[in-house]
Amino acid sequence: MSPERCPLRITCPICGSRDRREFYYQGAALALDRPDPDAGAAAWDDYLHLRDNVAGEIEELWSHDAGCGAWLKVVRNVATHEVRDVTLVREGRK
Amino acid sequence: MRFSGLKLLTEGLTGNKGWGPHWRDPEPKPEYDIVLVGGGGHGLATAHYLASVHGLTNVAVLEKGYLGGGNVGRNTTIVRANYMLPGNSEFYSHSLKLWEGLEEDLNFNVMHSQRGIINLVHSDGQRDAFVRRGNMMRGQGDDAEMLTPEGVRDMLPMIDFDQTRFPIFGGLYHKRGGTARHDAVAWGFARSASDRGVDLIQNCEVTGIDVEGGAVRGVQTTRGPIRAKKVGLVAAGRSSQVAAMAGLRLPIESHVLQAFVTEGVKPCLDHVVTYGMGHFYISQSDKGGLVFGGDLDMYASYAARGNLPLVEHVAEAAMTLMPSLGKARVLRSWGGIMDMTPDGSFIIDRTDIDGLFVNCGWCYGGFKATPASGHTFAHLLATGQPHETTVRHRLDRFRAGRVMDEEATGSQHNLH
Amino acid sequence: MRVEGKGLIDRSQRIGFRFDGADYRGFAGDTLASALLANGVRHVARSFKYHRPRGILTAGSEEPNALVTVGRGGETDPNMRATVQEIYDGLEARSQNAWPSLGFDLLSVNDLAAPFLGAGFYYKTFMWPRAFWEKVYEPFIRRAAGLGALSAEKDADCYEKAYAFCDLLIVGAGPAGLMAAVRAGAAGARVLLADEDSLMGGRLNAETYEVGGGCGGVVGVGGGGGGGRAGDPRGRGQPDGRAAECRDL
Repeated sequence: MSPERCPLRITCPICGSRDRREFYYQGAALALDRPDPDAGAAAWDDYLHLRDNVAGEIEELWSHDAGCGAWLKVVRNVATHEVRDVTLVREGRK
Repeated sequence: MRFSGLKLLTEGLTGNKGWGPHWRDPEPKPEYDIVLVGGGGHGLATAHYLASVHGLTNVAVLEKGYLGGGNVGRNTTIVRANYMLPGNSEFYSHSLKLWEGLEEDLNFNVMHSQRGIINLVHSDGQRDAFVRRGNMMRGQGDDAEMLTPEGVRDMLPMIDFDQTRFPIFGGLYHKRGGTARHDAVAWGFARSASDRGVDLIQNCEVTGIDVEGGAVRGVQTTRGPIRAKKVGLVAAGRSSQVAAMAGLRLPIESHVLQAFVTEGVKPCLDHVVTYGMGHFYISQSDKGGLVFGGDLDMYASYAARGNLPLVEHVAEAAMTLMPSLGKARVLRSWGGIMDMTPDGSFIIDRTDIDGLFVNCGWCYGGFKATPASGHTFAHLLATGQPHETTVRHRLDRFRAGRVMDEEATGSQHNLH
Repeated sequence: MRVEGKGLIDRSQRIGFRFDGADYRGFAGDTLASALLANGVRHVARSFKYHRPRGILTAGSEEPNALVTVGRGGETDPNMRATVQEIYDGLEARSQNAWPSLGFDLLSVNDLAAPFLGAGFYYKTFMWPRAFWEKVYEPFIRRAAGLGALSAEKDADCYEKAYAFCDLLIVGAGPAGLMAAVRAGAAGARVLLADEDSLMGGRLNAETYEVGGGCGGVVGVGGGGGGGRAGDPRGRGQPDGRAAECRDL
């Protein structure tokens, strides 16, 4: 049985399957697309405040606060809580 | 039909045959002056005030499920006017005054119980913060009083004064705050709106918003297309989904908030209590159940259910504060979809699309706002101008930096 | 009212308990409901709104009527179903929501007013005069509401908690659950078998079936987190050839 189907757990690529309480939730994984400082108010407003907020699969940032501390990019369906994929943020940035 | 004790008597004596449905169930017309998307507390309240205050009845409320089947049907029923910041302070004060006349206005007993709300104080710093808040409330013309620990003990005998983790230093007491019967609020507004001629259309999901030349033309629904001169979006946790149909992105993240009610027990808690340190609050409904809740689960969700870590957290807070609660069995637990804004305050505003208005961002505090949300949204829809209590609740306030961060945690998603 | 020679009670162990101030005797294995019925006590509660007399409807946790309060002080348990409450020496239980007594409940006058108290009647009245809502109507409604009462004392009982892990959680240890546990365990899964009752077996405690080709009964399925009783003293049925596998769970 895949542990990712359990709503309470996230599989940290470094530490393995862990209880939700070990993680800190940041929100939509937009932090990775930070605008230039002089990109203008509209771009910054979009980045900081506006959200797609879809009722389906979204990409999120969680950090394994009570574990290794790594930042994780989690693909999760917010209507069912099913976690489909977890990758280290730093892997994605290589 | 006018409701009264006399009516109950006469109907009871004649076989109870005179009662009819509380609202009509009409087929949607092809066109209305105003269409409201969302048949929850705020949508129904808006419909009532459009009709009763502005005489506008060529109005339809479109609800994808059944009336009041969303957050108004599943909340912890607290009513209060103890907000601090300009903008919020006058709005919630306005709302409480509307609550106080609501039963008369609707001819429906919403069981508005002004039993008082006590915010417990656990440190000197917290007392200072609450004194400040109390002074702001009084400045607004509402009531506030600081209680000593003895004062709290007199009013709340169930609280454990022996626990040392969060000692009771006193409390901020807001006498005019209290509770109301949430279902009755939805039904009362619905009945009034319907009686005045507003069409309440259930099982009617909006699937598209027609925009032409920068102006709204109407909506597409599962029960056919409906043209409208004005469209008001009042869909709470699903606001982003609906706004997206018009190509709009909102500053909203939808989160889950859980709440609980126990089996009915005899009266043991006479006031609403909030225990901020434990993220916990509780009251007793008139049916006897203890209604309580805590914080968000703290992750985005449309599932309308949460998870056990939060349940455990709430239970621990409950047992720390009121150890006698341990014997009360939880009858029901549920979750709703909260439309969270970065600063934790709501939005009632026009959009960049002519004729399209939005009412959202209530986070987990929408119930107490129900009358004023409806009243001020109706004002905006009818006159095109914001009501004086909602001039600051703009959609673009985040971009402009004019945020209303009541909790002072920082105006950022995931901090409220 | 007892059926001679039948049932799950141990007739060699007498137990004394009290209900509404009167002393009764039952046997080990009795629930409060079965012991009361054996003593000819059929009226044990009053209904929520109309205070109509209520007895015992079921033999399990689905019981809607026989809600009683058990215990005293910090151990007071309101709204306990008499059908799942095992009796023990010194158990004290009392009826709820009746005054001055279960047999003579003044609030049963509500029943006479039934035509006026239909579902949701309170939404249609209690609005005038306005001041009466807080001062008269609501206090009355609140006192009439609720069945049992909390003791207002600290909950004196301790409760277990576990953070458990398994491959398969089986909810219900009746014949299907037991069989599933045996099969899954034999297949190598870590199984947690749970039942709300104080003994496993479900329907097997009331009837005998053939299970897996042998006489079905409550065999020992101890170990893991399942609990259950090895060597069931009631001796219902014989452990079948798979008893050894059961013990590996």
